[in-house]
Amino acid sequence: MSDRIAGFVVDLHRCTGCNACVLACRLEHGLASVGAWRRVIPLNDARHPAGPTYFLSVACHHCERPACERSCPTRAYEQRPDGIVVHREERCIGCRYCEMACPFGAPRFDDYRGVMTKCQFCVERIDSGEAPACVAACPTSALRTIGDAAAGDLAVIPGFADPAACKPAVRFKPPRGIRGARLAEFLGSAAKRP
Amino acid sequence: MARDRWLPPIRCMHEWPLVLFTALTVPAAGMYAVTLLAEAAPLPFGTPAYLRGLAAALLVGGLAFSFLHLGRPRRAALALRRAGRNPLSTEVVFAAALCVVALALVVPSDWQAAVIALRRLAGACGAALLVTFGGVYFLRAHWPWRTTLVAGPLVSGLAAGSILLAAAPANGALQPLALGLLGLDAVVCLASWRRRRPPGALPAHPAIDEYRRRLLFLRLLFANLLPAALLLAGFRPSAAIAVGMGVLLDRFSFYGLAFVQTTEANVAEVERMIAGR
Repeated sequence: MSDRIAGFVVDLHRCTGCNACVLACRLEHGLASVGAWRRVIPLNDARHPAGPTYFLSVACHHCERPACERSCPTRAYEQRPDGIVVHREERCIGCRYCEMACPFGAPRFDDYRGVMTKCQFCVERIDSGEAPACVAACPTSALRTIGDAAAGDLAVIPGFADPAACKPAVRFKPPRGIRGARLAEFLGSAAKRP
Repeated sequence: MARDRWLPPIRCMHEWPLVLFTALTVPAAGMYAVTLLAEAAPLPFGTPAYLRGLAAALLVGGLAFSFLHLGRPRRAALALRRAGRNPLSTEVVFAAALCVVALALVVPSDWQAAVIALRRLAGACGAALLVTFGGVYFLRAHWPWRTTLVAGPLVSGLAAGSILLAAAPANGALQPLALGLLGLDAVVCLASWRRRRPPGALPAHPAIDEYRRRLLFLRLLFANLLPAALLLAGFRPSAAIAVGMGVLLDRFSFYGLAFVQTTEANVAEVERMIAGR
């Protein structure tokens, strides 16, 4: 992954669930008709003592083997050398097959324009040397890009399935203060899925 | 959501054009695919003009409905770009080819060799289309779909197609084949839907999922039990009507009762584990 810049690192200890990343994404791209490309999903928001509490900020993970690109019949998805999976709207017929194929819910159908849309890693900002809007807006630096972050972060945490079929380029830093045994227990439970 | 209706709401489904597309094309494709089986057996059968016309009408109508699912139907030809490498592109090719061949078979002709060749071509296209229907949903990264569900279009198409053929007066010899295929279809249906909910997946349409048992009962009734009973009782055209309704219910259930894997579903699974401790 040395030349890859597309990919997010989410520090679950720092993320407060403020949704600034979601708002920044919507404002940057004017997503009134389709909804947000980025979502913040709370896990154990009720603070049950049996498990950890954190917020998963997820968008398109710009997978190494994107399911959307493989499933699209019109080649509307392309993966750049830096790993960014770009959607070419002019080739999209709005069949919604990629929506079905993606296990992370990234492609969203725009009812108004009749095409699919998804996070493009803010390619225009990237090409002009800026960070994606969501990363720039994060007040706690919980959300960063893979190029920025330290190596060795966990890819799979409870609540996030890592299907080996598409190898999502997202990394999560586990929340600090969580006892290793408890996290390992939940990881073991999650791994038992077929 | 409170269930205050006898039947589930369909307006929440964006897949309803696909329901109609597959409900119309599956029996027609199955009918031609069964002619290959009948020839191979060999069993005496015929394809009267009204059956060929019905099959052509179903295919044309089904293809027309498929356009309604597209957000940009005028760009539909772009879907042919990856034929042979993408299951959806391949499906489009086979559907279009079968439609053309079926229309050609409607034209009266005394050239028997050409008619037989066209019918065999239609059979091959029909079988390939039914297999491709399943292949479209065998998604590598989406494990809730990787079940016997993907065999559903093939077996239900063969079952429905055999009933359509057996409904013709001269095709009584196809009755055992039709009954066998109905039984196989019932087995695949029960094997596909016996799991209540895969872990880490949520119903794609929760409002319709509340009617799961009722829908599956009706599906088995109309697609398998009723056609078999009517066929054995000698009411062959009624069996064809019943199986048509059964195919519609089967296709509606296929999309309406589907499960999807999303991050939200995975988080919900962990939340359930937390709450259970």
